[in-house]
Amino acid sequence: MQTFKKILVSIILLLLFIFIFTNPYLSFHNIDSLAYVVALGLDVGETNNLKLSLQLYKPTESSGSSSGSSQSSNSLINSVDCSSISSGINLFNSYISKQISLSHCKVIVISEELAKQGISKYLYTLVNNVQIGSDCNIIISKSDSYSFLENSKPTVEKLIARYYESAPMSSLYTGFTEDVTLGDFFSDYTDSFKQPHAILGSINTSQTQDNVTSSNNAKTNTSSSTASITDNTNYENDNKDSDYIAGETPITSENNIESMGLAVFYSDKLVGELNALETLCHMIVVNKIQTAEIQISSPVNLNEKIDISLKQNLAPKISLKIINNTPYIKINLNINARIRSMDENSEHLNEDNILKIEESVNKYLEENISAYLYKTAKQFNSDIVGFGKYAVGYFKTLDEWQDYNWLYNYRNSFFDVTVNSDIKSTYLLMDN
Amino acid sequence: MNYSKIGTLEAIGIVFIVLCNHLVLNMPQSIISSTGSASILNIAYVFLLALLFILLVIKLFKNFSTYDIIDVSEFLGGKFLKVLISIIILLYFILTSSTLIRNFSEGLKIIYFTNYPIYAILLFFIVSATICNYFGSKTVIRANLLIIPIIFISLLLVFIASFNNIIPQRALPILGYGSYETFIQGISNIFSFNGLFYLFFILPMLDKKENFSKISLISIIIIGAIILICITCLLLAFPFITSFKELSPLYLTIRYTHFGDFFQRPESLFILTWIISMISYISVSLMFSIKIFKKLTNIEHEKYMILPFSAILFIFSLAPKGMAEISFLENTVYKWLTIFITFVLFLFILIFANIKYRRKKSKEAQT
Repeated sequence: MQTFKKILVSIILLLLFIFIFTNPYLSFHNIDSLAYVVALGLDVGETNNLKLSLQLYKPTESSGSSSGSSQSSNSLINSVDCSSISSGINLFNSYISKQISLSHCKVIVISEELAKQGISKYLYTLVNNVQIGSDCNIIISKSDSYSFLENSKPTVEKLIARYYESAPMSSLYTGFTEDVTLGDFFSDYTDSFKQPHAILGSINTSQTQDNVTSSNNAKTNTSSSTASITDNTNYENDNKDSDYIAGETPITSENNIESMGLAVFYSDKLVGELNALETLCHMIVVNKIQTAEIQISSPVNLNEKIDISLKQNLAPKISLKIINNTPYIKINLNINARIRSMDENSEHLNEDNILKIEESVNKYLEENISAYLYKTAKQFNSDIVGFGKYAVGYFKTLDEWQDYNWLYNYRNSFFDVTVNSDIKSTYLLMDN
Repeated sequence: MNYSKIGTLEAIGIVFIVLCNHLVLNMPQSIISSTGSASILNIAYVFLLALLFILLVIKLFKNFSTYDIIDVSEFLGGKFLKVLISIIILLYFILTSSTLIRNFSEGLKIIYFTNYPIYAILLFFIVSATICNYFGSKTVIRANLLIIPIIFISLLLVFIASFNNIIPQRALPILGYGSYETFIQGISNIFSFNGLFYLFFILPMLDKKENFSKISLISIIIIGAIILICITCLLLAFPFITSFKELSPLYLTIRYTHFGDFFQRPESLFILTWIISMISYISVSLMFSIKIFKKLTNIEHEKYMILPFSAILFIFSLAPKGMAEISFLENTVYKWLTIFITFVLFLFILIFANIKYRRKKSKEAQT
């Protein structure tokens, strides 16, 4: 019996090994037969529904000869007009004679035009794809996605994939954009108390920089309309450095891409954009900021501007009441601040001055955060913060919650923002 | 009956492996889709019901301390009931194992082995379970016990990693689809305690019969705690869990969880542990099926039945045409069959057997 058992086990193991190592299906997926996509772009098609752009790794000739050469491998960008993502990939498979693999895709770029039409079917296709990871970033491009990919030239990185990976990380110390992944976007899209948002990107050219003036004019109009709602007429108009939106920053560069601001969605449709300052306010409210810089007019010397470094002391305290079917949202923020500006006459750490600066910081943040919140509510009707989670407790069943339709009723919200800042110190140099 | 004796830990391990495999597949989805945001409340409620059920079972088994449910059936209704119950149990074992293995294999095929024929993936599991069974039931049970800590750690890691995404308010509205759906219709979620099914067979296998109540109580507490943690993590971390039917909610959880920049795609590691867990489950299932068949037919050498049963399992697992049929079998047939067999049929057999036992005792006392 023992011998029979041993023979049987040996035969079975032998058959298994033969099956595994001689199976033609296995050789199908070796690394030489695959083409790796690093970025995927979606546009409105010219001759079909969709224009699919793929940025592929293009190994250099010397790859393999040294480890350094593979780091500087170039990328190849191609696009195809197709009816769906899958059929587009299929066309690529045929064209490049290799099987497209999305398992190393770092970013999905969707053009503003397509995002305005609705991206739900593409979103589901991407989520349904086994290869695409949920940590892949979503960028809504103000220009077409093909050009966006074409202009993505990493300046301080050699490898394009590493560049895409590290780019959204700046949100932690600037607050000018957010690291939004496919997983985050899909999660927000399917949530009953939140709306999705994505990174806003654009190509920064001299032409787009010229748009700053017109954009600022439009913003002034928006501000005045919001002010009439909130009765906050005293706006700080001195945040020029954070008023920009992607593509508008006056940087001397050669048509490179820029991620700044957020693209706001209602369900699967793009409804608006937030500039850098509004994004900073958003990041403060959602408690996703490590540190950020703001510039305010000095309450001590009116001609002077002070740079303040902010850090959130505690998570925001948010409470929500539904009064006569209208959401009333109270936000209490605790901020630690340090003064960055310094000159020979500085007397910032004087007790009276500290109080004055604190008051100015509070006012600056309260006004800007209120403006941002009213913009999301009145202009976009998109709860990208997820205030709905504070409202859901008022309902006993899912039917009652769905009947109330939070995502629609968010437009009726009123906000009360209170900021308590605490000036801790300056940096290395104290006062005179 | 000639059983290898098992200890407390080994018995708990058997119950645990059944739970783990169902947890990896459709079970959490089925619970969440039926009760929505009230799933946590529902599972806590169902846990109390299951606890009451198991306390009753412990009490009812007191008069049959060396019997399993088939012996109890024979005591109650003679050979006819024994044969009938054995056939039902055998069919249940084969149907549930084959559906589960097919479901898992389909998942593997979609995720990793796209170009592999499904029979090859199925064969991998069945051949492994067959080999395992050739080494005897003790090997199966002890191998299972060795695997349990790995599976437990893997599940624990999934739950811990999903903590970052948790929004407690996702458990609101507290009553989900309504109080009737949560507390009346939601009772059907007791099927998630399917591991208890195996408790009806382990009594004769135990080296210390008096440990049965301890094993049952520890098992149900472990099952309850793990299901509760799993449902809590899935419900509070991912809103799409309530809106879609996924291939495997736990797999999706791993995909949507950030494990740091170093481990960017840890899914394969978890899937490896689940593959081992599935092999162990199939081995245990095959072992029990053969033991029941042996009891039913009084055959002398059960080892000769390993290959035929493996073949039956293979054929049954190939039977469903696609995921729609598998989903129906898992979410409807399996669910209601588990409720009927474990929580109704076995309970009634035990109750009536106890009545018969008491009558018999009182008659004996009278004579």
